[in-house]
Amino acid sequence: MRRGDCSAPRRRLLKAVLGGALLSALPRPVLSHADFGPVAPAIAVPSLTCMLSDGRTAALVELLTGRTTALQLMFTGCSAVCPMQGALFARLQGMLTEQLARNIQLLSLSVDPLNDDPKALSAWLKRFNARPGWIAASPAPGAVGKVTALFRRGVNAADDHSTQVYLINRGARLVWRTSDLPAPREIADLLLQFA
Amino acid sequence: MAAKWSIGFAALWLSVAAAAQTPAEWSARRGEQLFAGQEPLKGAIVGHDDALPAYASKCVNCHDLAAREKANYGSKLTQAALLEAAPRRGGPPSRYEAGSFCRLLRTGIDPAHILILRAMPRYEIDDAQCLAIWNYLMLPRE
Repeated sequence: MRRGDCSAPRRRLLKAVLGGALLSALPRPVLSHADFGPVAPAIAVPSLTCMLSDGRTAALVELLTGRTTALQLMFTGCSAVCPMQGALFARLQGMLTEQLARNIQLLSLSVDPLNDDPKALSAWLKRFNARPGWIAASPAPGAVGKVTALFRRGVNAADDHSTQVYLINRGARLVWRTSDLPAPREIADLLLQFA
Repeated sequence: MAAKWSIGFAALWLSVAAAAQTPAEWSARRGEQLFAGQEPLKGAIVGHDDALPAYASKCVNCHDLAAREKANYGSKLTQAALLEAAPRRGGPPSRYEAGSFCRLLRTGIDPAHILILRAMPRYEIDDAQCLAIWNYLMLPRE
């Protein structure tokens, strides 16, 4: 199996097992939101631990608290839509030079923690010339289901992760889902609106 | 001295080989380079102001002709898959020819007049570039 495959069986199995169990435990309102647009009431991000590109570990809530965040799901071995997603964030960071790293941040969150170690995440950021304020992280392998459960509404049938961007407010709550591959200007406007 | 002769001979051989190619073969070769991103194509996601960087809009990113079908994000692009009449995206049976293929690359509308996924960039592509990619895809493969 080539590294760029977007349908790695190991990842699918992991998500199927964990996601299935976690989905059944989710409250009903989470599943009834529209595919994109405002999320009301806002949803708290799940409690899980992430590994960052610099090797540190941190709770996702901790990473998101205090800054407005644009979050994208990706994995570094994806050759199809992920390069577009990376390019999109690269363009976005150029629109937020003053706010980035101060009260706004971008987070590339992997759905492939088994392969996306700090070295791979670091290479991802370097590939797109990420500046301070754009971070990358992988959830603990056992927590992928929690991530995909929260963001599952946007899952594309042809891939195993969404190309939407998720807006998280300073209180670490999901407040907005964009359409697939949104324009950088749209994300910038939303970030400034919620910041 | 021998090295100079070798280089000269190699250059001569290459020019003879190039001259022996038909225009269609040349076109297909260019198509391969366009498909793989060795010659960049300008493509953008619908609704975006700017074109994607060339590395993000290469055809091969989503349509790896050497990969198994299900390993690809994009549609199968073999000669048979393009030319055979088949239902696509829930529409009536349709088949591609060079003109409808080029229209899809530029507008995202397939031969059955169905809009394809937004994730597929729309390309600013001239007729020669488009025909080159078509000729490349029409080469027989397993």
